[in-house]
Amino acid sequence: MIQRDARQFIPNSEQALQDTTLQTALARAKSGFLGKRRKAIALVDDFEFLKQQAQAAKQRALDNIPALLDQFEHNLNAAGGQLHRAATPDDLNRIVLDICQRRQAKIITKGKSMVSEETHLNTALEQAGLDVVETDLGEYIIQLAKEPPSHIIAPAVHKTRQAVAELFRHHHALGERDLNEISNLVEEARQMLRQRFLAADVGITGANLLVASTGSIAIVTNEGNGDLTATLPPVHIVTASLEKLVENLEDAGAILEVLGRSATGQAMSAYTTFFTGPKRPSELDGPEEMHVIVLDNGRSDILQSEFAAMLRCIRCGACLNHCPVYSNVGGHAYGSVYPGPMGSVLTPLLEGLNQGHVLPNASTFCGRCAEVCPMGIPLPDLLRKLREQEHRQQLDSTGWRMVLRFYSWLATRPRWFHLAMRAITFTQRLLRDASGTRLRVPFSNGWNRQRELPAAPDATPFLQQWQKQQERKP
Amino acid sequence: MNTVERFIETLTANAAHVSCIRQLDEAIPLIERFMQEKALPPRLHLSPALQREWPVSNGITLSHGTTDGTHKLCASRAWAGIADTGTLVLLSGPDNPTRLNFLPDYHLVFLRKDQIVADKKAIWQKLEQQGALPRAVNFISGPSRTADIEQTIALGAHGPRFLWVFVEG
Amino acid sequence: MTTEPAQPPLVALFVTCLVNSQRPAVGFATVKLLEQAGFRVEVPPDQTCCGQPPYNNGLTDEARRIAKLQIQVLEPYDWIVVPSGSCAGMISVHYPHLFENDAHWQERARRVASKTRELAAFLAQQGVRFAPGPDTPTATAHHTSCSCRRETRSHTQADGLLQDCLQDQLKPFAEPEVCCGFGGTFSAKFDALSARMGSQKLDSIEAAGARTVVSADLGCLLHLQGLALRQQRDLQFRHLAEVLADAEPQRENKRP
Repeated sequence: MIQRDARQFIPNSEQALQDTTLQTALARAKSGFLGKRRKAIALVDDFEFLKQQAQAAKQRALDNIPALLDQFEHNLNAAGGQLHRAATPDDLNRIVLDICQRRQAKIITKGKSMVSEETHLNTALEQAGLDVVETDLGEYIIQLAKEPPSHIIAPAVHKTRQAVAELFRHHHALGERDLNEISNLVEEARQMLRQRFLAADVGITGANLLVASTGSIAIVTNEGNGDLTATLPPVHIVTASLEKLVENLEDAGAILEVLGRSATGQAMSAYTTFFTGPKRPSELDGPEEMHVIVLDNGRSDILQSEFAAMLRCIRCGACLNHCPVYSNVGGHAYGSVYPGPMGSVLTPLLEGLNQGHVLPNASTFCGRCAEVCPMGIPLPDLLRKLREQEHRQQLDSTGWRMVLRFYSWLATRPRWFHLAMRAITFTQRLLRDASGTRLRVPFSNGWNRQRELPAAPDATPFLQQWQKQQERKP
Repeated sequence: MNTVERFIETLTANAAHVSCIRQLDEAIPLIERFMQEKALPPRLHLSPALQREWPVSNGITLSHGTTDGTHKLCASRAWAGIADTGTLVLLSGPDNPTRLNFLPDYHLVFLRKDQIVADKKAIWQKLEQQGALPRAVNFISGPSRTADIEQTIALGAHGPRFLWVFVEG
Repeated sequence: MTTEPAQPPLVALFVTCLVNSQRPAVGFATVKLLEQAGFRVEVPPDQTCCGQPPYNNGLTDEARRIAKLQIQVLEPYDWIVVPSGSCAGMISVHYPHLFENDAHWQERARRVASKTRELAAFLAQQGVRFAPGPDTPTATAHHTSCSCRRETRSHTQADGLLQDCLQDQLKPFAEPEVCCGFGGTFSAKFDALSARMGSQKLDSIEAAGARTVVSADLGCLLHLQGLALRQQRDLQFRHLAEVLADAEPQRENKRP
């Protein structure tokens, strides 16, 4: 069983590598995401320009967060909505629960919100006896399976259609039926969830953007579940994090240009909606109340730190899809809410280095994440900075620390370093097997558990050979 | 290619159906034939905005207002169309209940040619000029879809399975 | 160590700790290529390591100390050539970052960085060309390291050089842009994952019909070779410098 603990990344990942169903699902997801994004970007004249526009829009906002939040609040109030500031995950959960209890709510429908995953909102609401229904199809599937999401935009990406069919048979008492086709599964979920949408007392959604100049929140979906959640119940609660703020609609637009293309390979998702306050007096529909809860959870501090660039993240998932580590082990192995490269930076920042320090090491620094990131976040550099903090706080393994310190000591002393190199080549010569191609190592370590140590053909390092040659020259 | 042609092309690529009509009454026989082909009851639910301008259509039973999900076919009026992404923009208001955009199986949207703009840039300016925004500004680019199971696109996840856009003028 | 105006420029070979200890032949092949191109070559004896192992494991102070030594050793030369994308990237991309709070050393780091080239980038910059030689391998896949692709950005130059010398024997394979899973200490810390990534790379190389793997980075090569040996795959592994040194240099390789 994969453990929901970021410190267990190594055993988790080894287990994930052996899970053939997971491997099938991951391989399919990877080729799907990559191909769609590539096509969408090829259709744009100058994607680099769109990226720059989006980054500039986000940076303008990050440079001015407190004022923008005030402006957002002012405009949201003017439209009849209410802003709540949540410093911690518990604060956010309490605010939601207070609203639900005041409205005597029983059924809550939810659109996809990574912030609510971050605060474990569902657990808090269920403990208070509320009936919480996730409505994004992927989130609904993993809610039935009692699992956390394994991808920030495709939460059930690790499930095959057979696994989904099994879940539906178990949870929907609908008798004998054909669930072999994906369309049948989608249709069944539609029927089941339609009833819940209409019965819900409160709808909770996330937000992709908070627009300060208008007091609007924007939700991007393909299913339309976000809109139904926001429109049908008498109360709409939005859970969003601080860095979702942008100055105005044009800046929001700049981010939308790169979001859909990077996430699902769409120039524009099926539904993008800007909501500004609750139902107006003359309107026929819409919620009676609208609450926007803005979560900080350490983000104000991150903004002042060397990790500020991480707050440019728009949760498109491109870094996950292109990461050779993520695409081999999936999201659950990370044991954290946010997986992949962005998660390996965010988890230690949000949950503490003690909890998250292994994740920044789970990267070869191949740099593909930074290459595909539409917001230009230097992910490998941030991962390296976290490794530096891990080392400073002595959370790295003692063995590695000693080896690397000794190696560094040698590497600043050329005489000793080159003596050590000679010792290494000499020892390697002794360890060569009969064929002369590999070394026989009397112990098993990280390198040779699944690999051989190829033998070096020479017993003398290059530098010594070279110096001898030079001496022989007239 | 002009803006209208581009709009039709991109919206069609987004799996929407597009019909060009000179004026509203040309839509009636098309809708009637569609209802027959799909064996749908001849009932159409209109937004108040459309209801006011709807011509006589004896073959179809009309209703209007917002919806509780029992109306299979709903029709709304759009505020703008965006050519480069194949997107409709609908504004909520007393005349345009938003439930019509999401609850029916079939969503019919009426749009005049002169409401189609090249890209979103013009839309942001138009919206900012409006001052306070309506409660909901819906950008709709095709029918409801999901790829949450095996990355395979299926239409009609929660919202309309079928989006039919009538371009007038 | 000033350069006489009449003399050809003086190149320092930064040989890298892996080539030095594991494949000295790659060092000699690099010298041969540089001399063929008309340069004087020296191997500064006090060079040690570029400092990636401590740098990538968070031991930044240690990396800085190591970097200072290499900067001192390398700064007198006209060029510094490195038969490795990752070590060249360390010097040319990361050294200046290491001294962000030290203007004096940052300036020195920048100067060394600006003179440092990955081998293929340097050869391509000199306009050298190759034709197949008697020992040029057949059915060869070029594995570009992530550092050559995304740090020194010299992968297209290496591709060009290899295209000339391997011609139709250069076999394109699927997903060349994906990491092979070496990643320095990653290969030992996350060995199962690293081995899986490497096996996938070898699968796509074999599927393309290649029997020899060439790369500008010895780390990737040793990792892939170690896997191929364990998995009993019939593949040969050669460094870019060795393949080019075996090729037939074209006349224009000589500096005028």
